[in-house]
Formats: sequence, structure tokens, C-alpha cells
Amino acid sequence: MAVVRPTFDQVYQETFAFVWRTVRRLGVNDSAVDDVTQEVFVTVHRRLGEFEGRCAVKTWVFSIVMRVVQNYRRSRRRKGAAQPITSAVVDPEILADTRMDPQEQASRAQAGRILHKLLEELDEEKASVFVLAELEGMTVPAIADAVGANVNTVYSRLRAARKQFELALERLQAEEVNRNG
Amino acid sequence: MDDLSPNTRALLDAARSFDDPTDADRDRVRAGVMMRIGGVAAVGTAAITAAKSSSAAASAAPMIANALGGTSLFGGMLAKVGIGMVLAGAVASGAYVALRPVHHAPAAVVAVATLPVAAPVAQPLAAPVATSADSEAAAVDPADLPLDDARPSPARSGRAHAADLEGEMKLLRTADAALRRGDSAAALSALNKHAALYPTGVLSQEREGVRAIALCTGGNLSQGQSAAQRFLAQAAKSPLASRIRAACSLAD
Repeated sequence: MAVVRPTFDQVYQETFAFVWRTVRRLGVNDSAVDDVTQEVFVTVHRRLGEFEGRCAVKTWVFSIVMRVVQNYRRSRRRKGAAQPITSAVVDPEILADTRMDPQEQASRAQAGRILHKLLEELDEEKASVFVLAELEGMTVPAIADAVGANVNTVYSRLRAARKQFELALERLQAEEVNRNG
Repeated sequence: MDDLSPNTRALLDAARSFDDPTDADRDRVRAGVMMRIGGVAAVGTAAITAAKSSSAAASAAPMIANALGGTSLFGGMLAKVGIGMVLAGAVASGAYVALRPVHHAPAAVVAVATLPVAAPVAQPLAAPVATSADSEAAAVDPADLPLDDARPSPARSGRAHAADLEGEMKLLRTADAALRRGDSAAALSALNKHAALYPTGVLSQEREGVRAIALCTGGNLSQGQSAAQRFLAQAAKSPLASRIRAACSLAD
């Protein structure tokens, strides 16, 4: 049966927000998010002819995201980047979202910063499955396709990621309590 | 499997939309992708040529003008994107497809701003120029690009015009790239070269707008503000206006 391939534009529209969020959550520095996301879609454009429709487009695109983010990390390591991978800078456009009241904005921004901090503590494999399962709502079989691992391995990584994330959050909250006396 | 605690769930729920992109993010990245995947410069030139040229089919003008000035891309990315990207992005999103040679049956008429880049396209609205998949397309003289044999050759003057526009876009992209890395001097150098080569070029107005930004961000606020005011007096509704006002500390 002939493969019905989506157009590049369809893939872009369907997956841009997912790619953008995932790139940020996988530890790409704010200043590099544009470039990394661009690289993902340039690769999508180049390889769209290879997409055979055996998995969801989002799953296929994620496999590209993973490789591009890995390249980004390797490049940063080579350059000996000293600064933390993510920063706590909040996009002014998000804060300026008039649909949200200031308290809600502050709360979301704070939660977002904590989320990034906790994700940084997970290794790449755990962070990926955690983001896809807990934040993107993907099923474990779909994640297994996306990360190129078997289902049992993904379950195992997810279990470990959840545990580590929970412990890190508890520790962070305890530190906060101690600071506030 | 071990489930998450209510505490963690609450955090994830609160943070879930924190990383969502804005429309401007979507448009800006798309413009960057289009520039990198190539074809934009050559076809962009063709689009501008067609829009400006009296030899372009009369029916083409409204559609191309819309693609160049009226797409949602323009609306969404103005505050953040440089002129090179604005031009390339707008062209890529609309005029790009409108001007590609026809190799498929014509598609139904679709709003220019929503046409998928890779989709089969409607009838050619101007002399077609072959697209390039090479991101170095900007370095190619459009006059040297092969033409679709099935179409009549455009007039030589049209091709020369296209070459000029290609050169104009290249210089403005150079200036914009310099600005984006904070090198105002390099930006001004590219703009001066543009002014010398194309004093009354199609993009001369944009050149002066970018010059105002370069002067202001380079520390020459007085000259920059003068240039900005001159530009804004003539083109207050330009896509560059908000960026110029921001760079030169001018009120809206």
C-alpha cells in the first residue's frame, strides 16, 4: 500500500509546539532553543521522504528531536560550557499574557522553573521518557518507538525517573522549608 | 507501576503550559527553517520581481502582494524578526509556493498564507524560476538558474532585475545577521554596500530602517533616532516599525 506522507507544512503545524516544549524540557539553553528547533525541522524536511507511516508523525519527529538535542549537548560539552544548561529566564511574552492574572503567571513561571531544575537532575534517557509520559501524555509503547527501546526498558526508565523526580522535589521543598525557617 | 504523588502531579499541572511556544515563536522558527532549506532567495527574488514588475501577469499582483505583505507570518513575527527573515519568511510561506513551476495538476485555490510549502501548487503567476534545495541559494545568480522549458523565457530585463533583487536581499540578510550577533559595524558596512550598489533599489526603504536600528544599537543614538524618524515618517506601518522604535527608544 502506498505511504501517504504528510507535507512538511502539515508536520510543522502538527508538531511545532511539541518540539519546542520538548527541546526546552530536555535542557536546551533558552538562547539555543530557536536554533535547535530549527535544526529539528530542517532535518524533518530533509528526511520526510523516509517517513513510512509506521508510527505517528509525533513519534517519528521525537526521534529526530532526540538526536538533535544529543548533538547540541555534545557540542556544548566540547566547548566546555560553564553555565547551567537551562536558565531561569522567563519569556516576557508569557508573563505578558493578559489572559492570565499576575498570580497565576507567577505561579506557572515558578512551577516551570522548578520543573526544569528537576528535569536537569535526570539523565537524558530518564528525562525523555518522563517528559513524554508525564507531560506529553504519550503511551509507553509510543515512547518505546520514539526512543528506540523496548517497552519493558521504557517502563523501567519511567519508574526510575518518577522515583528520582519525586525525591528531588521532596529535597527541594525541604530545602525551601529550611531556608524559610 | 509506581504512580506520582499528588504533590508532584500538582507541580506538573502547574508547569504544563510553561514551555508552550507563542505564535511569534512558531513564525520566527518557521522563517529560519525556510531560509535554511533553500530556494527562498531565488524564489523570493522572483516573487518580488513579479510583484513589482509591470511584465508580471496582472492577475498575479494581488496574490503576490498579499504573500509579501499580508500573511499571518508578517503579523506574528514583526517584533522579533529581522528584515531578512521577514522577507524570506513571508516569501517562503506564500509567494514561494505560488511561483514554483507547475509539475502537478493545479490545486484548488487556497489562501496564500496557509499553503503548505511542499504541496502541489496552483498556476504559475510569473515566469518560473527553478528552486534550489541548497541553502547556499543566496549566492546563486538567478540569471544563471535554469528555466522551466515549458514556459516562455522572461525578458532579459526581468532576469537582470531578479539578479539585482537577489543581491539586495543578500546584503540585507548579511546586515540582519550582523545585527543579531550584535555587530552593528558589520551591519552598517553591508548597508553602505547596499546603498552604493542599489541606491534606489527595491529594498532601499528597508535598508534605511535597518540602518536606523544598527545606528541605535551601535551607540549612535542621535543619528539613529533621526534615521528612525525619517523612516517612520514614510513607513509608519512597516513591519520594521516596532523594532525600530524599540531599538531607538522611540514612543509608539
